[in-house]
Amino acid sequence: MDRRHVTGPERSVAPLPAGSMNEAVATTQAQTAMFFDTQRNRQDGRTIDAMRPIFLKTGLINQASGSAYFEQNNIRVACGVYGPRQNTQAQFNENARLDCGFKFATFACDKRRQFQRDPEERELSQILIQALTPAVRLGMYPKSTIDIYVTVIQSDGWWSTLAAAITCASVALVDAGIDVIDIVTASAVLVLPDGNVVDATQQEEQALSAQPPKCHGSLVVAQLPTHNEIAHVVQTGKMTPAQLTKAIDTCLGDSAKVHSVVSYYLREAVLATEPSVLA
Amino acid sequence: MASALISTAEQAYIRQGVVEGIRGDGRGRADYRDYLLSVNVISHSSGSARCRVGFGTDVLVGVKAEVAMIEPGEAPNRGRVQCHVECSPSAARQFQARLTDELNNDLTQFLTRALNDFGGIDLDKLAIIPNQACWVLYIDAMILDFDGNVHDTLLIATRAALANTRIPKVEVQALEDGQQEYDVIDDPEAATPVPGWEDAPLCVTLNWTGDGYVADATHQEELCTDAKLMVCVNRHGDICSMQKSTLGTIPQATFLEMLENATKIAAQIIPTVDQRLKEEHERTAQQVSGGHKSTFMTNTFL
Repeated sequence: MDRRHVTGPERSVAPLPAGSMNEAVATTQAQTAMFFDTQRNRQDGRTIDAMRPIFLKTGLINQASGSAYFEQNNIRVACGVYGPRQNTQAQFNENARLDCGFKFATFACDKRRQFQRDPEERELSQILIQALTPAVRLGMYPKSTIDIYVTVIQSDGWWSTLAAAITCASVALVDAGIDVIDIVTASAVLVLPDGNVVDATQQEEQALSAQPPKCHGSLVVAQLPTHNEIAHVVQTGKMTPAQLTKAIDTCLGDSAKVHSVVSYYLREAVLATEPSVLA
Repeated sequence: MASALISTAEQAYIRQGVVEGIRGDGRGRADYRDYLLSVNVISHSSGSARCRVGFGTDVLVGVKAEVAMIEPGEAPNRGRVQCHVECSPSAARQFQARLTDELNNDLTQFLTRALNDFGGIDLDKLAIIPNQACWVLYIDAMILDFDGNVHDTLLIATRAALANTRIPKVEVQALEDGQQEYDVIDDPEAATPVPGWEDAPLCVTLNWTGDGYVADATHQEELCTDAKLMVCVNRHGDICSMQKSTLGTIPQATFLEMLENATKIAAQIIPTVDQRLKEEHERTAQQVSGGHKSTFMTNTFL
């Protein structure tokens, strides 16, 4: 399609129910209030400390050295790892370099994304590099580059999607046979004045941003679970140090759970292809 | 960025120094360099400030307030903050054109995250007519010179620039058909400060070198850093934004200790920055009454 001639609208907005704008705003606010009062049971039936179930599969992309597909209900992330390949820079480097391309599919979010990477996606690429590099044994691959391409096919909650992307990319690195010291796993929480909501959906995030800015925010922690090291942290919002410490604890506990899922899957995957390896 | 210009021996020396609590310029691990702060340095902006830390990092921030439309789908009753940070290629060797793209972008997103929604500024008060018009604060920063610790300097300068910003008065009139109309009043006397600028956070960056950590690192120290932790704290001690940067990891136990220390350091620096800001505002007020003088280069270290 020639986008210079056929320009669609920048974003799509759900049609408003019959009645005035103010009524629509009032209903949203009522829904929001309901969500926060009855937080023990969330709209998708989870409790506030329950993550969405994880589906994981490696080796879906034929051309890649390694690949992974990660799904958590409506979050769908695919990742391909290419390399290690020779570094194109003339300069000698005794360590490998990670390159990352993070991309939301144009239809992945509410607002339509462009084909070119926007500033947000470029920053997410940097975050992924910073989170994954500590786990890779860079010294094993001098003069080389490892390319990681992450595509978010569907996003449901900005912070949960970032956590999913980090975990997915790490599994793809393992699938590519790159030497790593640990699997990087990540998890996200939404911090409220009276508790933490684990692995929030987009609906829940929006409900939060409609609230008056008291003490709440979001947090993603990526860790190397077997080393007890923190690989990355991104937080926004406003929270007291005590709230933040508690949220970090929640995140670390959750990403340990993610790690057990990932390592179980990887073990099963190896057993399925080469039963003799673990015998 | 271009490769690090530091030898292995120099790195070992600095890392050992961090463990022993001895730094090249005689500071303690948590000490900041002296800094210079001037406000109202750009006449075309709604507010501006410049912060120079030590004899290195120099950040200039200009704020411009403009009226913009509220698009459908956006919050109906809220203003916006739009940030942009740029490292000028003349500032440092590693700020070559194109190589700074990622750095510029990271700094921009970092500042946006620190200021938007909960970063102090009362965005609800920046709305003019619901679903129609609001104020947008364009916060543009330039890194003019570089010697480490860009993030902290950037937020000091931004806080000062926001304190210095005046938003023109707006009069809203109701029309007969239920619509509303606004008028921007040109009178500089009627302009108001940015609502809630006092709550805008300052950043404390701690640099983890593998065995210890230091605040306000110089460029040399940053080259020895495994992982940086940027913590933005407001004057009430709330954490407004936090992020790890660079390619290393931080052990869990140390991480929580660093977080606690960052909040403590912030509690110390926020009052001193505000004091400096107050003196600076009084000084500029006097200068205005005594005729125009350049505030850009004449300032000396206090």
